[in-house]
Amino acid sequence: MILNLLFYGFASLSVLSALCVIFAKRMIYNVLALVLVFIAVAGTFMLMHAAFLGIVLVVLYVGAVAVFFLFAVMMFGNKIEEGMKSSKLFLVGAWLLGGAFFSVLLFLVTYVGLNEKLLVSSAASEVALSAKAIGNVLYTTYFLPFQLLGLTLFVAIIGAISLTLKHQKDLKRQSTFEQNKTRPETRLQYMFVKLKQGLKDA
Amino acid sequence: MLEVELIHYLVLAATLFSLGAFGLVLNRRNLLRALLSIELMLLAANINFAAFARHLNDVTGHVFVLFAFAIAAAESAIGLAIFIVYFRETSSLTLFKPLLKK
Repeated sequence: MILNLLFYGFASLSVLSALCVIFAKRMIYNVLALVLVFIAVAGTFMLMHAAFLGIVLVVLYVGAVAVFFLFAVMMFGNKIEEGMKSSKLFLVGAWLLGGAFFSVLLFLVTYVGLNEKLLVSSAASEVALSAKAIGNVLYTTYFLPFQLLGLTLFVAIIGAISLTLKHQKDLKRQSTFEQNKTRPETRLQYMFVKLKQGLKDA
Repeated sequence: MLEVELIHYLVLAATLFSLGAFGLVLNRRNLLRALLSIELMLLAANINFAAFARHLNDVTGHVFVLFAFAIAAAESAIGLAIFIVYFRETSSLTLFKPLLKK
């Protein structure tokens, strides 16, 4: 019973914050409402015995991704909101698409939920979900996808940096090709220097 | 029954997903808000994965949720980098604006 109450609290919090993400006027409120959605959904993850996922959600999203967004909002500044109103066409399209998704998903969910035969319910009293179980699967069965995931994140880092890097034309920078191309003969010259005379023309 | 039933989670995920789709189409003024709507939709999909993992008592769903988290983080990083470049070019974040300055 208390779990149901907790679930309703988290669910209503997440839906209200999602409405705030869509409808709030200023970008900073959008991002902070998204943080609230993440925290509420982390609570529902805790309710479905996914404590590790809930903690990862808070650490990864609230700690990293939301900070990305806040930095971006800080860079864009406050003058970004331009008075360009959504046209009627887009409003109608949004209602159509959102309503269509919602009705179809709700129909499917209730259809599946009422036909218990479609789902092989375990009804397990013993919960097999834990961080240890995730690690057991992740480092054995899904080892290659896990490594590829790390590679994907690495490529994402390189892509983000190379997209936002500003190339300054007048900056002096190292040219490794030129450095490797040079031989000693092109840079050095051997000369005989006579005693007490020095070089005439250097 | 001590547990929250599966259908509650599914309805919550459906609601969040539809709200994300709604916001994605509704919003024309701001690219950042579109990215936030996409994050909402991804999160709704992850709720479904975790709910079914609990229902079937199978840990594979959790692994997929972890993968989806990492991919979503990479996606938002790349998206924000693209927005920053776009903002430098046009000094706005509006959709449907001609990219090149005359």
